[in-house]
Amino acid sequence: MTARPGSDGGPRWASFAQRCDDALLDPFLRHKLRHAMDLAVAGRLRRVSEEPRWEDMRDHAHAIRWHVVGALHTYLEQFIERAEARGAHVHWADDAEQARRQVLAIAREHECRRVLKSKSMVTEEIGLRHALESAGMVVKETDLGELIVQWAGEAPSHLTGPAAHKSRGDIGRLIAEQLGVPFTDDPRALTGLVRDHLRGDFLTADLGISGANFLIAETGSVTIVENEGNARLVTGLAPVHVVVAGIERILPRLADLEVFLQLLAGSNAGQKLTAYTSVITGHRREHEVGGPEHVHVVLVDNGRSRMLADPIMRPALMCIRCAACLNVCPVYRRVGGHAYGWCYPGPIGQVLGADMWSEQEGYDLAFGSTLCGACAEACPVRIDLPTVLLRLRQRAAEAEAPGGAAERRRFRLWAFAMRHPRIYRMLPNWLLRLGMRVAPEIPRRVAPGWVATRDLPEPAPQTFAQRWRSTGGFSHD
Amino acid sequence: MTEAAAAGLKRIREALQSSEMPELPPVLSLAPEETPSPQAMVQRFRSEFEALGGRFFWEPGSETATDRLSKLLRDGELRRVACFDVPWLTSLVRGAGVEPFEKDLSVCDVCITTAHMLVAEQGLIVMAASPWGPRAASSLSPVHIVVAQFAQLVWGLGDALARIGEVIEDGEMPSDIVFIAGPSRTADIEKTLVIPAHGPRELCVVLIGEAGPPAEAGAGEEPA
Ligand code: SF4
Repeated sequence: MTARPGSDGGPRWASFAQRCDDALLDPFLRHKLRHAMDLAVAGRLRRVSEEPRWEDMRDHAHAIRWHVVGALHTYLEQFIERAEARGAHVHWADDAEQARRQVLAIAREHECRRVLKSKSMVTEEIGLRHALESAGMVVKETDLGELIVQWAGEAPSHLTGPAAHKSRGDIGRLIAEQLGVPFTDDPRALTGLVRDHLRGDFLTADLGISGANFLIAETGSVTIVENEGNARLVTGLAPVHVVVAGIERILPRLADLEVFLQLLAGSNAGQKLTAYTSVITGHRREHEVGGPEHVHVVLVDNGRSRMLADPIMRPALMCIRCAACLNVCPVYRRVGGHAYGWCYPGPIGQVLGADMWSEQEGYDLAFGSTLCGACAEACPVRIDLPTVLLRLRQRAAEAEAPGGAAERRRFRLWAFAMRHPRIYRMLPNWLLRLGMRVAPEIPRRVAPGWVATRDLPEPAPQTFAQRWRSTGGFSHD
Repeated sequence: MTEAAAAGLKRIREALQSSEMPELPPVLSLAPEETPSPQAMVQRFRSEFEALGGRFFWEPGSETATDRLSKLLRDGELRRVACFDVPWLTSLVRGAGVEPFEKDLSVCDVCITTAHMLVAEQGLIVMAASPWGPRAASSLSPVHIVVAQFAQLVWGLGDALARIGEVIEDGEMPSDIVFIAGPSRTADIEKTLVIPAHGPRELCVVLIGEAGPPAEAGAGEEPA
């Protein structure tokens, strides 16, 4: 079983709708998220507007990722061969449990006790930190946002900005408490405190764990992008480096990085490139100074080969985890990452999660979307996320899953009304107005959830169709 | 390859069975139609690198570069100097009056290295694992000064990757290559940009020469 919030003795798994309701009751959350997301989106749009080849790059990236996903076995085989030829040990994990066990075995084999991590969503997906900690190891996150949520005992709430849900005050109090220093909420001072605090850890760690943004089949290399420099230190100083990567994160050629690095950095928050891009190929060569003696790559399937076989889900494997779809999503921007109930939030998290948790939870996650299309418009590899969500809803309806049954009832009613225009025309007009006068408690009965936090307005005196007729349709010509 | 990996690959092959595989598109070239002039390359590098928060100096030859280094070290009060790199560089740094070199990166004030390449279009410094300097040379010291020859400057990221590609064809790929775009940074606290995070607080590039390495620099190892 894959770890997810609540499965480690936390609160019980509530429904997506329930978690959204809870999140919406927090007025500060929305404010903090809007501020952060607006900045990220503005950055991306600025970058897009100054880059004349942006749309070409997206088309190209889509073509490459679609090709790679369709020939995944070929490229994985090539990657494994070349990485092993350069001295890396490549492991294969069918599921989260296997992946955790493999990393643990590697740590034990090299007698590692002090473990540092750089940011990696797949290690969140497999619940790696808890597994290592329960085995008695000291594990510390080194990305500032990740360390903040680790200290807070929370999960990251955004793919690239794990502490997006926290204010500087929240973070200041947390750091003051953790490090025993006077309170400050100045981001510069706080960053400096954490920098000083982690310096000793970097110099003494005996195992560094990172994720991988791209695996390069041609060279057997692992590519890691970051801004803080923590991944440089995690992967470069400890004697053992373990890379945990999803099997889909492959690019065919080293030269493909030019487009993908720019798309990733630009789509995330408008950078041309992130401050550091590391291309790591095997362990330290004999003639080189420094670098780990042992490099292990753990390739994680955990449901991906199943998605590959599923024509609806396969496009989701093209994702490069840039977070652009979260930043623009009107749902994510209000409910934040924790409402999604597992490590991948936002539109891509809904798609992956609806598939992953369908047996336990139905297709709940696929329904929390307006299908407005903002995510598809932003996605650098042009994944048509709304269509995937729609197809998953269809699947839910066909499978009689809980969310699906309600949806089907609603649409049956809708279809009936659409087939009977007279009835449809009557509904919003006098019948509704009359109904609301005589029995104002009806909406509360029919849709208690909806009216609990909203007023149901009285319908306008004229319907759109009536106004259309009375103004003569397109009256401007 | 492990048995588990072979079994995993088999499962993927089966998952893909009935689907047709689209062609792999050729690498998209983002190179400009005309090769930019040396002047344009240096100008572009300067503006990009400075926009990222780096300090850039262009020196005509080794002598002025040595003067520039002494001035940088003096003004920044940088006394403990680490320098691990190629012979032409160490002699240049010695010329600036530095001796002996600090060996422990975690206590030095400044680390002076050369680069594998500089990339003009995005203002990048490319470093590769080498016999001369540890990976952490670009990360641990408070100040990092990169001294590079003009021949190490390429136009785009694509050019840099192609050059690395040539190295692979010759045999070994270094265990580590890093593309550095300005000093380390974070925006994890309310999206406020803070420099530095874990890397150097200051990043300087001293570029020597204009249309190729000056004669006196050719004495040691061939840079890049
Ligand atoms: S689905 Fe697209 S936009 Fe969303 S994280 Fe993945 S690549 Fe980025």
